[in-house]
Amino acid sequence: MKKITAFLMALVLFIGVAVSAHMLTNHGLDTNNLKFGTWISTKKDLCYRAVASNIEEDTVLMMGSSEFYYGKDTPYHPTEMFRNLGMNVMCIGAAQNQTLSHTITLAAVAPQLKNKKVVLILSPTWFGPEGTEKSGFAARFSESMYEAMLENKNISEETKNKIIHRTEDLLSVSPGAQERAKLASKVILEGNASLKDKVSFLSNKWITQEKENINVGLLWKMAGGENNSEYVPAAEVKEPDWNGLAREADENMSKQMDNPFNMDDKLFKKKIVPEMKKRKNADKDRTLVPSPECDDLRLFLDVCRQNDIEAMLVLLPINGWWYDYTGFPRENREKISPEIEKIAAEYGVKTSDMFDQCYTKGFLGDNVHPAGKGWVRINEEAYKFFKED
Amino acid sequence: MKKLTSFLKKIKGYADREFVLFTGAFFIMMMVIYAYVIFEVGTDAPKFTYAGF
Repeated sequence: MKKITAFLMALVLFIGVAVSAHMLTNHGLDTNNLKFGTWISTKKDLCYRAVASNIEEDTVLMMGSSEFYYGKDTPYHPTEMFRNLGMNVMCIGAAQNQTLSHTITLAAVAPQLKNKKVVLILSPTWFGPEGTEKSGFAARFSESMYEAMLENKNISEETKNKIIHRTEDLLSVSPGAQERAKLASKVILEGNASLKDKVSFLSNKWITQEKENINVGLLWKMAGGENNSEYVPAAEVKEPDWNGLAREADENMSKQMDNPFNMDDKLFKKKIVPEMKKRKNADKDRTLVPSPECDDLRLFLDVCRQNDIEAMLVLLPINGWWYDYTGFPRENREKISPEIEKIAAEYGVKTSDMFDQCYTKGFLGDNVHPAGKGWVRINEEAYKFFKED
Repeated sequence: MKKLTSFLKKIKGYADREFVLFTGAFFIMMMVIYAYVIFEVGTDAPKFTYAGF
């Protein structure tokens, strides 16, 4: 009897702790802070509540991938530039993010996005005969975003079904996540879920939410993030001198580019040198398009269209000298550009094709990631797109 | 006052060292499970490697 009472007492204490943690972190996610969007964190990207509750009247979306982790300490990185420009840009993306994961995120947060604009930074290396790699997609799959996507009534049944089929197929490498995704679509979309399914779905949902909220809340605080009592938009700042910034970035980069591929020396030594021998002429048969990624991009644009979101596709270049070395046929590389233009034309969306910068010194820091000048040009295009009526 | 004193006495008698130890042990176990559930991330997610460098 004493043990049972002790257990019940411990349970009461535990519930008290869990409820307190729940209340504190739930409140803490709505930061009312302009800088939250430019806080680069994979945990933030995967947490529906963190992203959705920090979308304000003036928030615009910028989605990309690993490039957000390059040049973070420079003044040319979008997080730095947009903060200084007083713009509320929600940057979402990390290595392994590709179009489908962004499609799910956009579909989830679209109802909150009042300033209906999104920039999607496309990396040519996303494309290829296989498209998104299953393990990469699984690593970036967010259950909370997926559930919110399923609940978005603006998205047609056809589009949802396409996203569901593609997601369930790619999650075959992660059976647990795949099962939970199937359960979510069964409970949210089909009216015939059993009581057991509903209970299982709700308990999964609760655990996921708690996990995400507590993790993001803690990481935000550890990153020095501050929560404000109310959101105050920043004052308008004059448009920067983009050409001047590009020149400045170029001058800085030219001092640290002493290698055959015109990369940043540090990145060259760290990433390229260990791979060089292995990669010589390794890409002779490599192609970018056709690729399943193209249909994923169409899904992204379907979501934009169905939610009245204006999109701009920014196509990044790849390092021409490096891919000449790896034997990647130039004509195969260059097919990506017209393919993206073709898809954009199908949907009538804007593009900013930077693929003609493959041989521009100082544009990229390594084989695929932008350096200072590259970031200046990307930010310039995004800025103009965000500011136009 | 008398009732309160006798109630506190009853609790004091019940909450001996053994009771406190069991309560503490159960509570710590619950907190460990809770912390694992909250902070374990991607244990069932496969490791990612770049196919094309």
